[in-house]
Parts: sequence; C-alpha cells; structure tokens
Amino acid sequence: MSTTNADIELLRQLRDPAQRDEGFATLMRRYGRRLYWHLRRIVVDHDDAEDALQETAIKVLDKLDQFKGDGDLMAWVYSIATREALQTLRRRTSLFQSIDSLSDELAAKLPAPANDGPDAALLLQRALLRLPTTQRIAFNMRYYDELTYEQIAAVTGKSVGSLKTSYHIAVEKIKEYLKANAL
Amino acid sequence: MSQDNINNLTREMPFTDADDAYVDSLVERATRRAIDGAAARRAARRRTLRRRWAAVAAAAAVAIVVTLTVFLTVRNAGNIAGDGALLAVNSTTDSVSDEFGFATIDYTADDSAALATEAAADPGPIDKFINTLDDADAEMLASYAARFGDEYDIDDNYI
Repeated sequence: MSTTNADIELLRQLRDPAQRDEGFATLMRRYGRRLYWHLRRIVVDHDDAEDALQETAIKVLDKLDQFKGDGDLMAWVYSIATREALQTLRRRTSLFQSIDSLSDELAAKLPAPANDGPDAALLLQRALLRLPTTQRIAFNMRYYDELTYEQIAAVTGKSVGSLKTSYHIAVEKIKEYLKANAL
Repeated sequence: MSQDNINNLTREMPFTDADDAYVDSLVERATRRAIDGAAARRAARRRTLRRRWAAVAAAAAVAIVVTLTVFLTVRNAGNIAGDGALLAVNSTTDSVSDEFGFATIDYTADDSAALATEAAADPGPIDKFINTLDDADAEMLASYAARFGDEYDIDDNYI
C-alpha cells in the first residue's frame, strides 16, 4: 500500500506552513464526501455524522505533523474518522454498556420503508446493524468504500487475514437476514 | 445468494436527507471551521506559551531574590556570631559574677572602664558623705566606734 502521486503532492502542500490551509481544503474536497458517508453508516444519525465530520476535520488538521509520509493518507484520515464515529457511539452508552447494544436504537433512526415495503438499500442497512460494530465498520469500508484489505488493516489495526474472515462471516449473516426478510 | 449477489445488491444508501450537494456544503463548512479553529488554536497556543514564559521569568526572579536574601541573612548572622565570639574572648579577661546566683553577667574590659568613668563623674551618696568628713567628724565617729563596735570604723569605710 502506498500513497498516490496526487497524495504525495498534497502532502508536500500540507507540510508547507504557507500552503497548509490550502492543502487541507484540497484534502477535504478529495475525501470529505466519502468521510461523511463513512461516518453516517457508522452512527446512522445525520446530526451525529455532521458533528463527527467536524471533529474529524479538526483532528486531521491538528495532527498533520504526526502523519508519516510512508503511510496511506486516505487510510490515516479514515482511521481518525472511524475513531470519532466510535467515540460518538460510546457517548450514547452507559458505563458498562457495549456499543453493539445500540443496534436497535440505530436501526430506529433508519428511514421508514416505503408503502410497497423496504427497498434493498434499507434492508441491507438493517442487516448491517445486526453485526458487531467493528465487523460492520470493516464491511462498510470494503463494500461501500471499496478500500483494499490492506487499507482497512491500516485503519483498524487488524490483520488482513482476520479482516477477510470477518468480511466472509459478515456476508453470511447478511445473506441469512435478507433471505429471512424476503430478498 | 452468493457473495457476488451481495456485491451486486446495492451501494446506494437509504437516506434521502443528504444529497451530494448538501454533503459537499457540509464538508466545505467543516473545512472552513477547522481552518479558522486551527488559527484560533495556534494563537491561543502562542498566548499560553507567552504566559508560561512570563510565569517562568517571575518564578526565576523570585528565586533570585529569595536566594540573595538568604545569602545576605546568613552572611550577617555569621558576622554577628563573629562579634559574639570576640565579645566572649574579651569578657574572660574582666568579668563580674552576679552573686545572687540567678545568672552570670559578664562585663568586658570596655564595660568596666566605662563604669569606672561613670562612677568617678557621678559619685554615690556614701562616697559623697565620706568625702565631706573632716578630722573632728572622724574623731567623733571613732568614739562612736569605741562605744558601739566596728560598724563605725571610718578607716574601713563602713557605716
């Protein structure tokens, strides 16, 4: 996994104090939309996703000096966003409550189905919310964002092998759910 | 349903409250706030740094003043102790003890000389009385002494 040429040029800007703000704006234009949807898929609620996006932007800008140039810039930004999203979920839990127990609460924030029944996108989201949070996040990054397993490993800190296994298990669970719910 | 079926299912999101233009505006706003916030944070950090340096400078100034004060105090105490030691040496040559047993009061040679000078300048009442006696008075006192004892012996200056 390596940084793209565009990211190398972007990094050069970000490391120059005179061009840092401009470089950061470029970075957000490049990845901002994907970040919002990554966050939204984790926290489900729009306001929470917007807050997490804001916090992510602040932390990315603050921690730019800590980014090692030999890593993947996008994966680094995703890892900050993922931590923010998990932090948002943790704030909703009590001291001894796992964030996995929020699945029903999060599912309630999904849009109501249309009159002719839930569509595939909605059913898929419902199925995903039944997965453990870390498995759901890994699935999202592979399926929706089409990150490589290496990139997901850089974001989550897990091994590529365990991520592949996790993805396979997630797919099996989703298939079961969809089969049971008429798709 | 195979994994391929899953992959081909959909990548659309069911949310209708955030189209691309709206999300882009959110991103733009978050970007601007982060940049403005970073500038404010940098300014705040500079202020904090200045305050810390001022506090360090003030602490250093206090430390210097305290050190100087302690140094001068110790040095003065040393001088006083030196004077005391000198006084003690002098006092061993000419001392008078309090005979009532409460304490021993040492006088230096200088003190003794000063007291002698003072006594000569201002004699006590007994000295004055003795100095005023003439020969007749001495004979009278001697006769009293012969009658009543040594208390009136003018030669011993007792009365």
